[in-house]
Amino acid sequence: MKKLIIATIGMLFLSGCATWSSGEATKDGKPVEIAVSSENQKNPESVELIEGDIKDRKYTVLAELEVVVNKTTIFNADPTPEMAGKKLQEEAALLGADAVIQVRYGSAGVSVMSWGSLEGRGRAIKFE
Amino acid sequence: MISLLMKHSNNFFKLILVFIFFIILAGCARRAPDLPPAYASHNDEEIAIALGITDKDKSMSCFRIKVDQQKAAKEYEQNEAIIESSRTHNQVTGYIGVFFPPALIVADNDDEIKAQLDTLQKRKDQLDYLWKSKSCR
Repeated sequence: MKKLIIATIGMLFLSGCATWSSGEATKDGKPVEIAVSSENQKNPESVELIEGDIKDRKYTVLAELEVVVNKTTIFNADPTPEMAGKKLQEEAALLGADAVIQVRYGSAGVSVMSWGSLEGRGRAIKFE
Repeated sequence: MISLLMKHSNNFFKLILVFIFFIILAGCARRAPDLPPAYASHNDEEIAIALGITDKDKSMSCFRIKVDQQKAAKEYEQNEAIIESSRTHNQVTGYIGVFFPPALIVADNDDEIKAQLDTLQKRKDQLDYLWKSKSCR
């Protein structure tokens, strides 16, 4: 039993699973289904992350995104805003968004799910 | 049998309470601030009301907005740095706390700083809106 616990902890350290994350897309408080075909989904890296809003270009709001990045064990490093940003890009790409505006992050700390959680929020948009 | 079950469920309940207490002591995560209304789907009046923009704010010059934006951004960074340094302290406390739970008492939750960050984010949203609505460059 003791060996099993040690092996599990060792595997967690070596597996590279330093973090795990979850994401939620909503619009007007209701969950948004991914209705975009895989061909229309974007490359996450091409999705722009913008801190504020855009006033000089028209856009359609696809969803409000909320992501949480958690560290796997107490001994892993805390999740960073870059990690939360990447997760926001991934979620937005699934919806076929061009950008995520009003991007903002919480502060890493203990949550019910993990010893180190960081939340990120933003609004997935598509330019007209 | 029932009394044994009650006894164990009581212990389990106590364990959960102790765990929640430690989580509170060990420095809770701050949630990401709420999103302001989308500029594209609301008119100026609705946005101004939602963001709490005053007449005084509306009369600000582009220069003044820029200065306040820089000030808010700097303050935001400073407060984040304070939380980050506490987090390092809390992490070490957490490691020790796993083996010696009373150590978690010295963890710092930085509630005041976290509240200030939320207020600053709101101010940043107001200034961002004013900057764009006045077409400042």
